[in-house]
Amino acid sequence: MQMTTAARKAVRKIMQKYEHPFDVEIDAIDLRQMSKNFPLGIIPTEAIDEIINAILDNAKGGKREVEPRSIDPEVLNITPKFAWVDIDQTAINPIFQRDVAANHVFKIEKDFDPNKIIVPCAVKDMQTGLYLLWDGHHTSRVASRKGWKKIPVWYIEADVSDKTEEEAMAELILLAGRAFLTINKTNKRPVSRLDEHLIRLECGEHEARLVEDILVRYNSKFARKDDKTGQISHISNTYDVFNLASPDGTRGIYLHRALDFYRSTWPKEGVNGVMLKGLGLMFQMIDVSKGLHTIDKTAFNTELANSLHSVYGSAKIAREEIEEQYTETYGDAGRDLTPVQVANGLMCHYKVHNSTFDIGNSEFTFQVR
Amino acid sequence: MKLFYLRNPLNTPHWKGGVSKLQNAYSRMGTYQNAFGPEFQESWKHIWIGTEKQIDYLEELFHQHWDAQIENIDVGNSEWVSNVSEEEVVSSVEMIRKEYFIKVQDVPEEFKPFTIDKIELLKEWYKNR
Repeated sequence: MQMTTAARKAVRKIMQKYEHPFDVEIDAIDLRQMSKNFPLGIIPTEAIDEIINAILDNAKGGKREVEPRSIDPEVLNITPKFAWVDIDQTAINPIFQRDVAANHVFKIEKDFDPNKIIVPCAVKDMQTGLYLLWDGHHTSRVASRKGWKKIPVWYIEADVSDKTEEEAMAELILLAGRAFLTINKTNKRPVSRLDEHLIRLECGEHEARLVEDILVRYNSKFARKDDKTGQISHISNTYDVFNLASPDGTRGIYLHRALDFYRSTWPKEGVNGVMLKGLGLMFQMIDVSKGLHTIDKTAFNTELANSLHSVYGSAKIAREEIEEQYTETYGDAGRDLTPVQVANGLMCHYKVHNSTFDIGNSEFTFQVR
Repeated sequence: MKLFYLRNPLNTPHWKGGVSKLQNAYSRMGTYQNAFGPEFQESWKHIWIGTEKQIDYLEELFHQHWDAQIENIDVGNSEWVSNVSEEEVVSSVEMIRKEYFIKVQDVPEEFKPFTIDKIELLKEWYKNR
């Protein structure tokens, strides 16, 4: 399923009223960015409905048959054990609902059956009284498209008997975040690696905070695409670089060095995950081979950056051509992962064009420009 | 070898940036020419030349840069950058070249505007440069 031209036009029209831009694709509307357009960062569900309807109403076979909020599902005589909530009393806190996918709404809408609706789960926000959905958001969007003005909700409220409201709410949000990960990592629409990182970060997990701090230091950030300055979409490779240990067992150092090199050498480009990991591996190989403090890192970085600029230009072309040069040499027999190819290719490239530092031997060699 | 070109056939402040392999330039220009007929000669006001990878990346970044100026996303219009001066559109290409380290080459002024009768001359120039 693809977004039609008519859908794109309808979405563009809606986007004009938002001050803060956000990505809208058929498989992900960026709620985190969208939330910046609303007080307290809480997105009214009708705002999400508006975009999803703009996409799906203009899709083949996606037209709605009923007006929004025109049906009271209570009259369908479903007896809930929990609250039926006015749909506009539900809302989204993007800490644990990072995006919403119109195509997933489309998929589950086809099987919609009011007798077996999965009940969305929520925490009740003590500040606003709103029910913040942490599971079943797509289901609730289908209910909305089916005209329901209320939805059933399992919800929890904070126990404030032995803590402040703020502490109790923080506890509920952590609980909801963890529950969301547990449920969504094992079934339904998979949680993206980006969402997983952001949830772990905002729930206060140590490693996620360390990685995030390094990214911020080099003016970089994780994103769904790496097509904008400083954006990194390959989260797994970034964590891999973070976890590379130096000869003295320190972790994190190669993410620092690789990002420092990347952002100062190609300051306008997005950060490609394969190149980033290739750089991290190269720095580690040099340290393992020559020792931690034997090379003037600033002078080495300058030399390597200059020759990469001169031969390849951008990071994107450097990575693509090094991979191609590896394939030209090893063909189908080459079994090395692409970041390993890039790491060794970078070392070969340095030796072809520079001679100031002895960087040791790469694991394998091939002809590079 | 590939070309990145900027064209505005009606001399309006609307520009199309596109790419063509040098060897395919005849058919690309012929396609455009076909839409106008004999009283108009298709020409590309500005061209840059480079390897396929470099030119393709330049095109990608050009479209990214001007995304907001693409007003009409209907078929046939979605690559037209609207309401931009020649100076602005050319300097955007130069800015992209510099900031992203894109390795494409200028061509001598005598090839601009680039027309179908200059294709062979450009090939010759490129071979002998």
